[in-house]
Amino acid sequence: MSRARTIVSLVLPPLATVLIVILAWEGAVSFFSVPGYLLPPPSRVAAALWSDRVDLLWSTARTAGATAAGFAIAATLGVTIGSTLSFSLLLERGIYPLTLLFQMVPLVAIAPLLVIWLGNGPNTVIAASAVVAIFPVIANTVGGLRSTDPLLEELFAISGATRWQRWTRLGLPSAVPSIVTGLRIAAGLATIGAIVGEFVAGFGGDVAPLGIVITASLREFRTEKVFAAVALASLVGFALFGVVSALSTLLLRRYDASP
Amino acid sequence: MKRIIALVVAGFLAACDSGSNPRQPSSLVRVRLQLNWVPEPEFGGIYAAERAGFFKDEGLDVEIIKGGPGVAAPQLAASGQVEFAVVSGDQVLTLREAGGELVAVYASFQSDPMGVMVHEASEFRSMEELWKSDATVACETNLPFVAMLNEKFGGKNLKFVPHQGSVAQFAANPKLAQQCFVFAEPVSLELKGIKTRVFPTSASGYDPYNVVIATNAQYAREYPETVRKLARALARGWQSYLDEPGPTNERMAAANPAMKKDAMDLAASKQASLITSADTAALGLGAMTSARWTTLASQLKDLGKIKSIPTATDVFVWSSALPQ
Amino acid sequence: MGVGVSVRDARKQFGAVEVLAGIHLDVEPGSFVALIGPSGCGKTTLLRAIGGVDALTSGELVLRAPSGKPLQSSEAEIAFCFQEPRLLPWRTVQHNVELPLELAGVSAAERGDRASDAISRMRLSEAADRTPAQLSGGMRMRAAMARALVTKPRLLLLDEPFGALDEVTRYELDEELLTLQKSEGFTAILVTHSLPEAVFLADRVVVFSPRPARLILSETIELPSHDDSVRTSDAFNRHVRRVSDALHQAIREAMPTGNGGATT
Repeated sequence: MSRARTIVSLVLPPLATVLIVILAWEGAVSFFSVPGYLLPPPSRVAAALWSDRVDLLWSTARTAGATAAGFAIAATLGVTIGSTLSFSLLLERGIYPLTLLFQMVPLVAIAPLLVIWLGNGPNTVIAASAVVAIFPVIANTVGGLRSTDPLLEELFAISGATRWQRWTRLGLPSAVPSIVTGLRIAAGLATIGAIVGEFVAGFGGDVAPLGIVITASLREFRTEKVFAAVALASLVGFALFGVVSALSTLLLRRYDASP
Repeated sequence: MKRIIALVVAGFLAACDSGSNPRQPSSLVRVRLQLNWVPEPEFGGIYAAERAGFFKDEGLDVEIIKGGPGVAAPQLAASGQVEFAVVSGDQVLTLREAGGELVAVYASFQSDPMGVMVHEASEFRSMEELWKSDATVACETNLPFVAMLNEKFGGKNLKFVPHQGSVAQFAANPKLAQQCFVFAEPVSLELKGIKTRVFPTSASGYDPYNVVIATNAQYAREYPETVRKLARALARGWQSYLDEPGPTNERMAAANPAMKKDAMDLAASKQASLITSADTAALGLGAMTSARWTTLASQLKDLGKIKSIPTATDVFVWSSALPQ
Repeated sequence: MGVGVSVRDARKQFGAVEVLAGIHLDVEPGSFVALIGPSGCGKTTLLRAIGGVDALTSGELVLRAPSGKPLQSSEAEIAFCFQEPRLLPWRTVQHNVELPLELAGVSAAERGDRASDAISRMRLSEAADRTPAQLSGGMRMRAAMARALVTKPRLLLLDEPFGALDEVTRYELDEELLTLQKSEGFTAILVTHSLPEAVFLADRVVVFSPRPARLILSETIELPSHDDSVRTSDAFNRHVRRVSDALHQAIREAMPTGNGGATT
């Protein structure tokens, strides 16, 4: 009984806020007679979502697929790179600052380069998504591996553990909470990366991904469709974030307190 | 006493030294003109007018604002953020349907300079051949010419990729076709040693006005005199540019690192034929007619880009009684 | 079964600070020896040196089989019990206890059985599937001990393992440790701050002076029994007294002479 109430108390406030915002938006647009190309009312956005729902569904699926792939690459590559770096202090000192480049260089600037190297199509989009999402994973993996409990490290040393054993049975499990935090951040970034990648790389195939829907709709002055596509892109980001959060809750159930 | 007289005389002389127009206005009318791309020969007349002081002659203080990829010039004029903007002819009509009422006041290009370019080594000898193939084309797919070409030639097997706004992608990929202005990108590439073959889109029968200077309907209603003055200054500017593009090109090349002066000179010579026409001979440079606007509207309606055909006189204003 | 230890002239220096100033110590195989002394006197350092974890600055340290044959520390089968339980938080008790066997490459089935055995000997079977976060301090310590015992060590080194626990739990664990030591036969060396605990558990209590540390007393313990009631017996108290006096004297002697001229 109280479980249902907890869910309601968590879901109701944000839902109510969203509703109020939508109503205010609708009212403001009609009261101030805002032209459609500047700011469409939510009713028009909803209409666009409905009338183009089949195409938009495929577009969302395309973008979601690229996002998921980009995230997967960022996750595995990020953990691998982070782990490799933490093996050797020399490697870490030498290479870790370079990985910061992934974070600093604006994607909009390197995306055209990615297109030249990887061509137009899903590869570039996935690469763009991975490039943006990878740094938090690397940083949090390195950080997590660095923060292993020294008492446990001594326990393993005394017990004669090999390097591999120390990494798989102590290092990585210790780093999981930190890595998972990095993955959560990466989830949101992966979506942005995919959309920006789509702006620039397009997509091979007949279904335009959300990024292309956005740019095409902008050029056609169909601002309501831009909003619709943006809303769907946000949904993709939320969904990925939700999956990662659920995973993290599952993994972290055992880490409640350190003995 | 001598000093007072000297000051009065100096002031009188200054008042008299007002150029060709004896009725010097006490202050210039400030307007902003938003370009939809970086300074290039397609805007030659505008910069020439600025250089020669033609705007000032009309009592206008024109601020030319550079554009580039991502600049929403049509919306800026429609919403009043700027007084005038450069748009393409079709945008005047399509934005109108979305609630942005633009009014065209000057058509720099009487014939559409849009085209599709391929590398010289490409197998395609005509637009038709290209459009019926499975080549990759970098262009903005929502442009009406794409729909027109699709109607005529199918285009089912073409792969469309986004247009980056630079020639880097095209230069790197010998199999890529890319949209362009027939006298701009191909010229730049030629000077870099890359030869191209260009297919003008106007050959498909879709030939709107382009590099159109437009304002919003409210401004056109409230300041018709300013509109006329701007058109006049632009016409003089374009004439000056057609006569001697060099100095203006130097000015534009300084503001645009992507295109050198010699490329601009070459482009200017190639674009001249698109700027003049029988209409401009009769009605002046930049002239527009109801017939052509109506034709454009019908074409756009047939292509599904607009739903209804507006009254021609609502979308443009041209006074053929403009002195040259 | 238990391993014997002989230490000759053990010295340890940390930089300029001399901690151990020549320790001689013999630990008989299968015996229980407690090391008592003020903080910083190096008893933990000596313990860790015996276990092969830290090194002495100089001196001789030999581990011997009951036959007298010298052993390498790797052959000696040593296990540690630390002040903290040092359990892996993401593993259940069962898997924590299995850890040393897992690292040694023992098969899953065998280590499962041996771990369950150790867990039941520490009376922790009902909590075998819990994670450390779900255990009390005492239970965590039991788990740590089960892990130490799962490898069937011949020498168990304990560094104040029960220091953080309450009195009652401490007494319980003392009894169980003693029982296990007697039944398994391993040698045990315990560092502790608790005099009663030392007297209760050990065959011999060795007292360190403040640093630079020397051994000032080696007290052989003889008690009538080893159940809880012995803690109030005369014999027990006498032993505690002697150890305590020796410790206090050593501390007094080590204090700087004079008190700066003050007369009170």
